[in-house]
Order: sequence, then structure tokens, then C-alpha cells
Amino acid sequence: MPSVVVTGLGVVSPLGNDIETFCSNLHQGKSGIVKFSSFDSTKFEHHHAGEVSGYPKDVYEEKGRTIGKVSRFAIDAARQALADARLDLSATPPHSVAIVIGSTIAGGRIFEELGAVLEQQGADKVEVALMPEITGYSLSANLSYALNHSGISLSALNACAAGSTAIIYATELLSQHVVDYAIAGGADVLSKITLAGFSQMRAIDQICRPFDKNRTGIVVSEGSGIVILERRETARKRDCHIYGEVLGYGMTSDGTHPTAPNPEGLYMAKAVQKALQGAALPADKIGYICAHGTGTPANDVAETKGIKKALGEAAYKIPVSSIKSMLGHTMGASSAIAAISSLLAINRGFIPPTINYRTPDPACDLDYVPNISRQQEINTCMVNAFAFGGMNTVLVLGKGVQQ
Amino acid sequence: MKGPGVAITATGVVSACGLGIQEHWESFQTGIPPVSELTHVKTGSFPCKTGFTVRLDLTKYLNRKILRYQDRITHFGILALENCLKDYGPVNKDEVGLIIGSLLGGVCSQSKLNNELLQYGPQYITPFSFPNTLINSPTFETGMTHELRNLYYCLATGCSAGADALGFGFYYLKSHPDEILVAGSMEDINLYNYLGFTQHHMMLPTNDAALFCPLDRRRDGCLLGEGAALFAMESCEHAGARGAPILAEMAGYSSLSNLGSHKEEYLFAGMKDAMSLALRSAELVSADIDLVLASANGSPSSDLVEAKAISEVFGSHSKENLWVTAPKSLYGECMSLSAPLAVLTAILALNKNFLAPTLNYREADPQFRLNIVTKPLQQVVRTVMINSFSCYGHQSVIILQKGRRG
Repeated sequence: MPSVVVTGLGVVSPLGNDIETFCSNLHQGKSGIVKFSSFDSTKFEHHHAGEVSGYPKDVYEEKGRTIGKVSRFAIDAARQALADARLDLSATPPHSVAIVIGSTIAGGRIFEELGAVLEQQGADKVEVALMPEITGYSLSANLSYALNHSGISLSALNACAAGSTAIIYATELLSQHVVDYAIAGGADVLSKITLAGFSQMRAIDQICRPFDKNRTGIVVSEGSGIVILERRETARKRDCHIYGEVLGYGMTSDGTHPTAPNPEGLYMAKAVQKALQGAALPADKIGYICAHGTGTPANDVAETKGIKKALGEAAYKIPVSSIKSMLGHTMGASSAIAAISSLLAINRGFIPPTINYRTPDPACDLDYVPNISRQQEINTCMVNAFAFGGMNTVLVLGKGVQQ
Repeated sequence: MKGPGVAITATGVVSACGLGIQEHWESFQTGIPPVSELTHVKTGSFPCKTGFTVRLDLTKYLNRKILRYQDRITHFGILALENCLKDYGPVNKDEVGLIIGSLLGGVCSQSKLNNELLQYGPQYITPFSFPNTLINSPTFETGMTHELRNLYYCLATGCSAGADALGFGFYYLKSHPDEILVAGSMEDINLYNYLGFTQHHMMLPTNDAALFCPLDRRRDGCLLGEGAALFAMESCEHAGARGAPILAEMAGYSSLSNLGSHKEEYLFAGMKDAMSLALRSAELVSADIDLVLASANGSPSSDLVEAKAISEVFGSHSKENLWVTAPKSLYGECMSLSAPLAVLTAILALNKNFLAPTLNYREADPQFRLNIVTKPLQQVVRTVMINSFSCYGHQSVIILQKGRRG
């Protein structure tokens, strides 16, 4: 199978809206959690979230079309990634570029506004131009529109694993020579439903403390992470920087509960094993695990067990950290941003920390890189993403040098 | 890349036409569209109050918990998956993945929660409904109900999403030939898609179902449909090894977005390119295709653009040996489900030599140069092209051919 590499990164996040700021904040273990202002939270129990700065509105204009904030995030991140990869879409052959982008509910905020009009003023008052924005498809469609792209354009709506699943699809398209380049990642925006939903599930807090004994839940967040993928030979011909390589992936499902993970991490472990098999790597070759680590009591134990089950003794020697401690849970963007963080870790030789870690939990007994980032050379890392519906998605990324 | 062949080996389907492939075949033969009143959508002052609604008594098939807590769209998915798995035969469910295409997914739960939020405030919403607000909730709820434990994957590419679900299955199986997938789509007619189609003037502006006549000169809009259609997909080798009949081989697939503009020339170019790319992906030429299942849904403009694009791609072949039919006339504009139902129509063509008619077709449009199937026909068919073109400018094409042993 031809090797698929990453040649461009773009990020819009509570830790910065460009790669350098984001990387520096990640390295310093900064928190992006604030008292947010995207919408009036007076009636909500929680008022803290990861909020992207510089995007005060719910809708934006892009070449005469009204688009939601989520599309704005994705477009801005994609433009960064394209510039980083020095890829000019107008110079690529027709249909040679694919766009695959993930989200939970792409048009969540728009839907809330439309729903309110529908409920309070009637069906004929709903703004027609905004109707398409409530479909998941609006995300990839807006991205294609903004970038003057014509070719494969897909929205992968796979809840909190969406970003990874988009990267996986893009990898298949490249390795099967369907396209030459792919723009892949995820995007999501703070919404009332997400905040209220997690709040009612009692799975939310002001501080996210993954793997800590006193962890109580997630902090909702937003953002977008986009990567440019291409085959190694194309990247080499273009003589551009290779951030890393997609070595393998694994996807499974627990098949039991919409929100609670399998307590033993059974199928999580299977996803890890599938990913290692795909990468043809033994467990001890993994240098870092960018955990799903949401900070909910159930996830962090199940994930720890799943890692141990899949990797055996090697698990205790591998640093595991959760960047959600700093970013909050960016939902559909989280695994794409995690992939970007992992590639930065590989390129800059540091492991991002799990901040807010105070009290060890005997049930979570791995090396979680507490509070301070670690200088360490990494060749290979694993990105975990688990989602509602018991979906388990694991990516294995490598340095991308010819071995 | 050609790679290993991908086979469709089992079906599970529910729509206004009935439950299961046999009832669909019977319905397609009657030549009468199974329309009824849209009872579960508030149609308000809008003129169109008819659709291809599923009239099955779901309480006979689904337990109370599912009926109470899941959206109607998910009911269809659960029922179709049950039928598909039964049709497949014994299987290790740990190995079975589920790939679903969806337009709006859990929009009914999303709307319910949103209304609770508006009326009572965020601290009074039902936490149990929260996971159902996701677009992929019908996907995972359907998969979980039947305890599938391989991947779940949801693509939301508008009205072409069902075709794109099979498309991802196609690619996935080429690199994972030992796994089993169920792919397809489910949709329900709800206020949101009803409003979307109505407000964008795509719905029939009257309540006269006889005027839902794709490819006809009098066409003036569509009627919506609903249900679910799921297909077991596996590599031809995998199917051969277990001695399963191959209902169809998925020979090619393409997906394109042409979003530069909604203008017709862009749509035309996109449709033409998508069909050509699908042929290339299948390593076939246009003369190899016997039947095109058009995406036509009665839209005055899009039907014409599609007809012109077909004529352009197939050239002289389109007038002589190529049959074209608009299967949406049989089961409605089912949004992302339309393409999977067309796959079922194709399976009937490949296995029963049955060409489904374009219902309500009376008056030829002088602008079309197509051989339209106007009544049920017996005809040997080896290769079928399925078009799935959404008005948004997203075009997907699937090519199916007669099953061979792997």
C-alpha cells in the first residue's frame, strides 16, 4: 500500500488560531477554558467552555453565501493547511483533490435559531437561505464552495470521532489512487444543545481533569483541525515538509450503550489492535498515546483498561496524555486536533501534558504526563477517539521518514 | 484501482412499497404509486399533503422501548437491518460494520430537545434524548440494537448520502476484504425535510399525486418518500467462500461536488463527469451499460439537465440500446434513501430481468432523447448505472453488474 503522509496543518481553537500559537500553548500547558460569550448562558448551570476567540457572530459571509460559524472555522483552518502545504488548488488537475470533514451536528447553532423561529413564529417565517445550513453536508459543501473546489466532497458525521474518521476516509482515497490530495479534519461549534445535553447527563464541569481521581466530566469546546494528506511520492516530488505518515487505523464499536463505554474497554482494545495490525507495528514501538481522555469518570478508566488490554506490559512505558485538559472537548474536531498535536509532538520532540492533574486514581495507573510537557523524541504515536454510540477509532501516525 | 470485487449479498428494505424485496417487486409491478396522506407531518398551509409514507404497523415488528425512545427514522433502520441480517444468514456480529448515509439524521430528537430548551430552559431537557440529536444517531442506534461491533460510519452528503455510504463500503472492502459491511440509508418524512423541499420549491405544488411524473413534460416537483434500505456487502471472495449468492457486484463508484454555482452548466458538467468517472472506475465504456436508473425526481430543471448529461455521456447508445427509468416515481424522493432504493431496483433488474417503469409517464418532453421505460418490461440486464444527483451540486454514481462467483 502506498504511504500516505501529512504535509499541511491548520487549526482554529481555544488555544490559538494558527499552528505556532497553538503549539506554543500546548507546549506550555496553557488552558483555553474561559467564561464564554458565544451565547447567553444565564439559564445554564455551566458558564465555562473552550471558546475560539475572534469569531463573535453565528453566521458569516463567504463569497456571497451565508455560512454558519462551524463552516467559517473549517474554511479558515483549511486555508492555513493549504498554505502550509504550499498547495494551490487552482493549479491541481480537476477532481484530484478530496475534501472529507467531520462534525457532530454541523449546523447545530443555526438549527437552534431556525428551530426557535419555527416554533415561535411559524414555518413560513423560516429563512430559506439558512435551511441547507442545518444539514451535515453544508460543512463540506461550504468548504468546497469557498475553495473553488470540484471533486469528492464528503461530510463524515461520526460524533466525537468524526475528525479521525475523516482522516481515515481520506487515507483510503489516497492509497487507492482515487485522488492525489486530500483536505481532511473536523470542525464543531459551541451549541446550546451540546452544553445542555452534557449538563443534564451530569458529565460536565468547569475544569477538565482527565485521569485525575476527582475528575467529574468534560468541558465543552469548539474549533477545527484540518490536515493536508497526499501520497509520499507526490509530496517528495513537490519537495514539501512531511509532518508524518498515517501508518494504520482501526475502527470498532461496543455495540451496547449510546453513551457509556464498555467498562473493560474491550472493543476499544480491539480497535487499537486493528490499528497496530494495519501499521504492522508491535505494541512497544508506540512512543506516545494522545488519549481520548475526556475527563468523565467512565471514559478514563475504560480507556486505561483498553490501552492495557491491547498493549500489555508495554502500556506502562508509554506516555499517555489528554489535550482535552487544555482545550476542552472540541467534539467533532477533537480527534483531528489531536492528530495535529501528535504530529507537532513528533516534529518538535515534546509530549503535551495532561494539565489539572492533582490526585492519582488507582484505576488510572499509566504515565499521564501530568501538568508539564516533556521533551522527548517520538517516532510513532497513537490517537484515540471514542464517540457516542460506542464508536472506537484509533489512528497510528509515524514520523514519516523512510525506514 | 480495480482491486478485489465487491458483492452485495443480502437486502433489508422497508418503504411505502412494503417490507422486503419481494413486496417491493410486487409493488413495482402493479404500476400504482403507493402514496397516502402525510399524517405525521404538520403540513400547515402548504398545498402538498401527500407522500410515499410507510404504512406498516411498526408495533408488530419493534418492541415498546424502541418505539418510545427512538426516532421514526431509526425504527426503519432497525427493521431493515433485522431483515438484512436474516437474509444474510449466520454471521459473527463482531465482524459486521454499518455504514449509513443520512440527510438530517436525528433531526426530530434535535428539534424536540431544542423546543424543550426554548420552552422550559436548559435544566429541564431529557438527557436520554441527547445522544439522539446527532446526525449519526440513527446509525449507531440501529447498529447497537442488533449488537454489531465492527465500525459504524455515517456520511451526511445530502440527498446522495445513501450512494456515498455504499461508496465508502466499496473502498473499505477493497482494503479489508475479510470484513462484512451493511450499507445503505434510512429517512423519514419530517417537518424539516418537508420544509426544506417546500421552501426551495422542489415539492409538487399540488396535492395530485398523478402529477408526480419524473421525465414527463408536465413534471412540476416531487413527492417525498421514506423508509430504509440496507445491503450486506462483502468481497466476492468472501461471498464465494461461504457459498452465498451474489445479488450484484459493485463494479464502480464516483462522487463529485460541483459547487462553483447552482447554475445549470455546472450541474450538467458535474453529472457528466460523475458518470464518466464511475465508468472509468468500473473499467467499462458507456456501451456496456444496459439500464440507467436516473436521479430524476420531477424537477423541471434538474430532470432536463440529467437527461442531457445522459445523452452526452452515452451518445448514440442512449437512443438505441440504453433503457432509462426514474425509479423515484415508484417510491418517492426519499432523499439519501433514494439511491439505496435504486440499488434494490437494480438488483431486481439484474436478477429478475425486470425493468421497473417510470410511473405517471404520459407526455414525452421533446427536449429528451432517451429510451424511457414507461411500463414494466422483461429484459435481460447485465449492467446498471445508478445516478444520485442532489440539487446542492453533489453527484454520486454507482455501477452494478450481474453477480459472478469470486
